[in-house]
Amino acid sequence: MSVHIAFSGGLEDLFNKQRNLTVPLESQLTLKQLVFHLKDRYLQTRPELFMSGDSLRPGIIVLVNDMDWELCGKDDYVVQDRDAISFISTLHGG
Amino acid sequence: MIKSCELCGIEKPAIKRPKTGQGICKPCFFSAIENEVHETIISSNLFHPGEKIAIGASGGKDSTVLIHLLDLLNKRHNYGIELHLLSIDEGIVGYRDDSLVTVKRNQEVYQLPLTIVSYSELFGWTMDQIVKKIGLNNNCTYCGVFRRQALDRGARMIGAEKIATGHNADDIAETVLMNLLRGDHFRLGKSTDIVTGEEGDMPRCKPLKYLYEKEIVLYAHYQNLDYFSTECVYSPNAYRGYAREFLKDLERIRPRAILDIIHSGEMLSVSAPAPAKMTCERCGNVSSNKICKACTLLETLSKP
Amino acid sequence: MEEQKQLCYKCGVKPPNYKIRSQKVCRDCFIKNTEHLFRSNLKALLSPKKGENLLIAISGGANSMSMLHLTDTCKNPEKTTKLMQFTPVLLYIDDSFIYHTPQSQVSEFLESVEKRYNVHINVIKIEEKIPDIEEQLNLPSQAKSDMLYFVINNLITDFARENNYQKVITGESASRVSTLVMSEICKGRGVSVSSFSSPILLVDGITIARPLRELLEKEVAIYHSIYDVPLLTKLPMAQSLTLPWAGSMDILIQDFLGNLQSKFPSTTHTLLRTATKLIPQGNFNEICAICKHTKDGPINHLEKFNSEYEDICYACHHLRQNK
Repeated sequence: MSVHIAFSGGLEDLFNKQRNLTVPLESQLTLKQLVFHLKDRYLQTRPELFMSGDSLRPGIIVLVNDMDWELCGKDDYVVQDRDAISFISTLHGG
Repeated sequence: MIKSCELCGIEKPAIKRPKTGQGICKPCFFSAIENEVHETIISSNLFHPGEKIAIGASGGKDSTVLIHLLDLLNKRHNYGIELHLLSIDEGIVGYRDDSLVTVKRNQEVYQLPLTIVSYSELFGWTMDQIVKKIGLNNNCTYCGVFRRQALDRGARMIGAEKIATGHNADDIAETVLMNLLRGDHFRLGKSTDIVTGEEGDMPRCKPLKYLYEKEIVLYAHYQNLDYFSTECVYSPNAYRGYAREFLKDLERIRPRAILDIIHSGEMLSVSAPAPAKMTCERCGNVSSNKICKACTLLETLSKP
Repeated sequence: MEEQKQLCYKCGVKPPNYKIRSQKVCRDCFIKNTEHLFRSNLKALLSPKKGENLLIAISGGANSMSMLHLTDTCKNPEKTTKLMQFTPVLLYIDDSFIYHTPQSQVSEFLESVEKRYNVHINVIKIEEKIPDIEEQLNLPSQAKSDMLYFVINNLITDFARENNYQKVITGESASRVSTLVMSEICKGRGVSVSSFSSPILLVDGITIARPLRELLEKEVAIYHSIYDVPLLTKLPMAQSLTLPWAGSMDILIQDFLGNLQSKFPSTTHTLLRTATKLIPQGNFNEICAICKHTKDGPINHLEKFNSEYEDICYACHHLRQNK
């Protein structure tokens, strides 16, 4: 299965300036696990701007198929084939 | 590689001073701490000759270092004050009994008089009994109110004019942050005052106000001071835990932040009218209301 | 997970897309709310008249760019019947010299913004206005980014004053302001917290307002994502790669407040409200030459200063001294 990841708000700068990624997955992951997966396999620089401890940095918004992850179980949501997951940040760029 | 103490240039450095990052030898470390507290006492006019000071003695590192320093500095610089240890027994089996043993040892070491007052004799309740009754939600509030009155009454009992407590820089910075987060702008400015006395309480001062907790631990360790180091069994306010952890993280990144937070607090105050001083109708102690806080809480406790 | 069907709290018709603070809102209502809030704030703070100049300071970041997009909606009869017909004047302070952003990227960004919003952007290169900026910013990252923020703000005010633009808007969101409050207190700038956090400031005769001050970073993030607003991001400077939070106080504070906000949804709001009530005690009549806020001095025996720094506040003194 694969999922479509979109980065915006400056997060793309951490992932080699890629705004969109298609990420193949071998098994079903929760969003929590997906975040680790992205950090381990795709993140190029400044991990502290993506993750804080063992979770996504608090300032990063996650939308699953344009729906707030807080409305679908947050960390525990199990990612489905062809889900469109957006990670949006403001990075306090001013 | 630092070869010699950054202060005296003679001895080998043994300690990296938390506040300044300087590598200094033990004797210079001791002097730095002692002189700094002395300066704090003098510049804030904390004591006057002939005064009797009740030292809040919990057996913990802060109060042990406080006792040690006040005793030492009083003799070295002739403050002319009389020191008397005052200990509060909240009635927490296991925790408090152990620390009281330490306080008694303090008394022997420094040859200072010691008075112990207990919640059970003052209020008729021990903390163990209170927690059994109301659980772990508001217990810290009760303890805080009772301790305040207990210190006051104890101090009056021994004829003291002032109370000295071992609050350190970390405590004060943490309180500033808590007040900020909780939206208590009235208390925020006051929380950095070196002398406080609300509601007609006996004045309390904090001679260790500018000492970092780390420095206190190091001083106590190198001076081989005897103290009891455990957190209260009844877990502290969860919110304060967040503030405390944040402060520790902040200190790692920038050690001087603790002082900077205190500086910020010192610049801020909101002028609130001083509450009227009355006498509690129930217990006769000084209060800002008809019924003092302690009596109000006791009333809640006596309900089924 | 509840199977219960939830509906948008506002229209009660559509399913919700986002959870903002504790409310579940659909995309359309979210957009309407955000745009309405922005316009009413702008009106309440500055009340820009028809044809009056409004200087819009953009940094390329999500906050200020969303602000630009929102000002654009003020003139759109489809978005509002109460049109605000001020004349937008755009200003971009070019800090690519410091962030090492390639010039092509900056030009591309500026062109796309000018095209999309049909505006001209005034550009000021920092190194052209301040020749010794490199020396001034020769500081560790934390101090450098703090200093840069002040330098940029001063350049904005200078530009406004020189060109007689009385009204300026900058894009600080609620989350940004609350982080600023917390970090200024931690840096010793408590004396000027009430002005730092204010929705409207008066600096050198110029009025600077923050119309996004009521919006959480989440709201700004979702808004700019919906409209795919063009951005030019600059990653916050890292102090150290070995310390946690890259040794940056600001990143630590952002995370701390973000976590608290998720557990206690009124955190940001409380901070903002409290900050404006923190009035300094004593007489503070002078302004710091660097941050342009209230100037304070040493207050206790541990803070004896070198008299060289008498025209700057306590915190800026330590900023310069690099401790």
